[in-house]
Amino acid sequence: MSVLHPALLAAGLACVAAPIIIHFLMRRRRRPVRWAAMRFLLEAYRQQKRRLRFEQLLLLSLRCLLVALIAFALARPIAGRTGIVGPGPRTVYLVIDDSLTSAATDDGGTSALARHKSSAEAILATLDAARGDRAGLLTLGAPADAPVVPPSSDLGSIRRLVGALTPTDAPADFAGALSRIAADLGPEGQDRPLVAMLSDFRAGSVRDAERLPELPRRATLAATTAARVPVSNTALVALEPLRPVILAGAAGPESAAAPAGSTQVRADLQRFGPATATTAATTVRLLAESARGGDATLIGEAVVRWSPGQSQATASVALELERLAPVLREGTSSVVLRAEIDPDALHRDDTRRVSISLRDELRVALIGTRRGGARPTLDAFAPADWARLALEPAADRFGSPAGRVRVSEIDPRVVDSSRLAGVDAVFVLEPDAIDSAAWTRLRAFADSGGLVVVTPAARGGAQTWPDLMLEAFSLDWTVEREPRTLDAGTIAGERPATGELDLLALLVGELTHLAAPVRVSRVLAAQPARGSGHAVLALSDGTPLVLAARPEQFEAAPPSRGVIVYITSALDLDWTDLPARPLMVPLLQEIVRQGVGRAGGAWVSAAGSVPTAPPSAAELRSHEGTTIAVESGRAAQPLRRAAAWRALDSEGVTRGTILVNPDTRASRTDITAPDEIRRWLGAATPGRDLRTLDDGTTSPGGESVASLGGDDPVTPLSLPLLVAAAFVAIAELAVARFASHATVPRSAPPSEAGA
Amino acid sequence: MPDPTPDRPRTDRIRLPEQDASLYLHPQTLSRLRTFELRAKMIVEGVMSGQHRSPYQGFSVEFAQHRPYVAGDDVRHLDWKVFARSDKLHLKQYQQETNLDLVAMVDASGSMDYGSRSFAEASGVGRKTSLDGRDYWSKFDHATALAAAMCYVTLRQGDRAGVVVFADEVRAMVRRSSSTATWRQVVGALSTHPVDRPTDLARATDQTLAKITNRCLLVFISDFFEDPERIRAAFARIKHRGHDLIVFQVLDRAERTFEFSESAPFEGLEGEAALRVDPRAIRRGYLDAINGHVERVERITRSFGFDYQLVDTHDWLGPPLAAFVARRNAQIKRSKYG
Repeated sequence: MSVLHPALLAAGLACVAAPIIIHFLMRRRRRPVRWAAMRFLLEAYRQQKRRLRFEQLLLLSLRCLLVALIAFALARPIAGRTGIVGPGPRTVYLVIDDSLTSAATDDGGTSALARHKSSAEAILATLDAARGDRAGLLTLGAPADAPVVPPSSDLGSIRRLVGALTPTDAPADFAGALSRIAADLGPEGQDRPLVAMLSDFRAGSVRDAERLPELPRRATLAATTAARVPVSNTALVALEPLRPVILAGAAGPESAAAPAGSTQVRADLQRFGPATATTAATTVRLLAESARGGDATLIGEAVVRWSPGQSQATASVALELERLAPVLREGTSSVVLRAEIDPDALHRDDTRRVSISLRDELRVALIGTRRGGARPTLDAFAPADWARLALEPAADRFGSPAGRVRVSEIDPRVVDSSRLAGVDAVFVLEPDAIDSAAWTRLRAFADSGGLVVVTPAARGGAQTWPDLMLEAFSLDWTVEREPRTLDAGTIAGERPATGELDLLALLVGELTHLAAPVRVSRVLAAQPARGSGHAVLALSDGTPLVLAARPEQFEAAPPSRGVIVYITSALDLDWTDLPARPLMVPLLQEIVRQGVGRAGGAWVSAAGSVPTAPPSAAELRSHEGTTIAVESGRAAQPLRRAAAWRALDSEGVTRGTILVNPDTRASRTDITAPDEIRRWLGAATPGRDLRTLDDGTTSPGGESVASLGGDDPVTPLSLPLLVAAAFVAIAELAVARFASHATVPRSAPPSEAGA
Repeated sequence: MPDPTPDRPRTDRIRLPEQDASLYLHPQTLSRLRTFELRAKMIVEGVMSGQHRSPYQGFSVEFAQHRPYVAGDDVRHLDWKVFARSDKLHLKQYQQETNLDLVAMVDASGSMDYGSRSFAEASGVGRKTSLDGRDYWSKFDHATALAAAMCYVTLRQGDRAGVVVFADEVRAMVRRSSSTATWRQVVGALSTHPVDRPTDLARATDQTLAKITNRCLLVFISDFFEDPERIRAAFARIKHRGHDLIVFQVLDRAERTFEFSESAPFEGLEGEAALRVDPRAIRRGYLDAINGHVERVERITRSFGFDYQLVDTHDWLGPPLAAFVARRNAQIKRSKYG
């Protein structure tokens, strides 16, 4: 037996105390009666004490029982049903796949999510709230959401929630959903819930390497059969401009002139499904939209031609900066580039966004001392002289470089926040000359979106500053204390795998030629731990020459936006002849331009994550007007759908743009073998059978969703309980009348005895 | 249901105007009692001869009976004529007629402070409250009125009257006298109020009998909420001393009907612990207990040959008192002459 409204039952049972409380309150309210014949009253009481107590206890018990019976009746208890979910009222957890993959449509144009919603509604139709059935609702779009957990008997509201579901752009999070269900069920319980997994289990949803949590043994897991028809899909898996920060000369909101020059945007595409075996062409269109939204402007186009068996391709879209003029006129220097490809069966991964920033110049500060003087000789050049020369080369023959880097100098002894304000990048060329407080300020500078480039001090002997640097930036690196002398070290032609911070991507084609004459004779070597940065450029013996990383952050704090670059050799001819080689200028220029772009550029994240918001942001607002609060530097909830979000401060001023792109890990529309699915889901119910549901469309052969309901009747117990309560009420009246002794005839006073 | 009695203002002793007999004797009571004389049932000792029989059997008074001679008897009382006829020694005994000595003993224990009748309706003198502020007519009020009536009648016929007020011991006493000042002393002694003490009938009886040298008519006026065996012991002492006794058991009507309907804590007037009880549930047992006690008191009284009268505080005092005195005098005449 179980009840439909346990809360009502709990409240009613609490009311059982009411007769007892009233009993004691009535005792306290009585005014005492002064009485002379107490000896006879006490005598009578002593004789009848046990009977009176029994009557009172019986009366009190009947009253408490009456309240309890009414409470049980109002809680609508039911008993006696059996079905797939076992005896008693049924509890069904509907787990609906609304991940990116669920948006894939079949030949009839019906999406997988639409079928899942139909199946969910069919299951809900088999439930009856009057019999105590309850349903929970979870969605798989990462991170898994639980709109209705714990289960509710308000099936109408759940049906409306199911009808309003739309696909997300995040991958499926089966583990998260099962964890929520397991936590809700708890290890012990009397119910036998059914967990109904409604998914096509395509390759984009299933992560067979992911270990699913185990459900309590009383739970039954049922899943729709995996899709058996693969769907062709082409996904835009990456979109990246050559430089996120473009030095376009006279550009930006303050400039009346259109920016000049051009750049390129790289788009990576991937094909899945049967189309992989065919010849096809995909058009990539690049559109520009301002960070504030509005109509997009087509600014470039490219065509990718697929050959049979080809699954990946890259398209470069030329971007003429002058075509950005309509967007820049809206008063912003940041432009959102949106790439689109031809629509296919899974259209949600056909769009991707990236942001570029157009700047007049970049400002770089050198922390070091120039020793060259007005006309220095090469021998007298200090690292600061070499860095300035590389970052601020002489004007071209027309005397007006299109974009440039403005270099300033900071005395190592006075590295304060005011001097770092307004600077995009800092070169620490004499690290042994700054103290720990300065390192702390540099860390704050990096967290605010700055680039910090560090080189060893150009001297011999032991150097202790790496400890301060590693501590300030929380880097898990190993840095040697003594410079290591190399025997004419050369730069490797093959660049190591660089990952996210590939600052030298544009030099790939010329790197071998430029690096050939460079000799490195001394390094203060460093080796990052796994996951704590990587080498951008290395020597032939594997010793990293350029390392890039983001400062580590405590788990609770939002990740740092800054970038730190460590060049293991000092910019000094005693250490390396790099400053005098042609590689010097493009190397430092790319480090600065790419590093600044990645450190302070647009905030891009994948759907399903909780993105970090720019400093001072109080809320995020999408172009559609949806608003999400910012708490502790992060969005208050995961962003599961691709969109461009403006980060606004408390006064409504835009502080940045957060771009959320589809998580194309979920774009794989290939089918998964049923046995593989069964084995994978079996981890959640070890030793038990996995029930298979047939939604009547793509996967015949399983149990019909309509069979979930079973035909066994349930017996509502409210009426019998009310009848019992009526009998108890009659008994209570009888006992109360008997115990009150109202029927006892009053005996007349004894007659006066005459003398 | 009678209202619970309000708390009585506590003063150690409240003196009423001694001459205000109307506080004790309702006019109706006085008018009914003026025509009666109080006669002793038994022979009582007195200084006046004539109206009442004396317990002393002497020489010059009415012959009573013969009894065998025992060693030590005064040989002057031998009846020689009987000795001559039967050759046996017998003494002649005589009866003396004397006056009536009445001692009214009023119970002032805590239980006598209960009453459910309004003072305005019971007092008959236009007062709504007593002089100490009570608005109810207590059993003690009724007892003092009854005692005053008895003394009033006794003094009017020229006999001696005295009063004893007692609870656990004798609290006040007026010696027997027939002088005109006695009435004022009686009224003064009755102008007290009950104390928060239980009744100790035996002790009060002992203390009273110690002050009485001649035989008297004792009138006990009490609710007799006392152990029956102690009552029996007290009456036995009175009987042994040769006194006559009239017992008036005063009860409030609420005590005899117990018509309470709502559960309430009952607090005793003699220091008993409070008892929370549903009166409807316990009523039958209570009535059985108190009626049994009343019957036992009456049975004990009559077992000694004394008179017993149950008095209800809700009844007028005059008619039942007059009827009682009339019945008593008739009995005395029948036993004397019949």
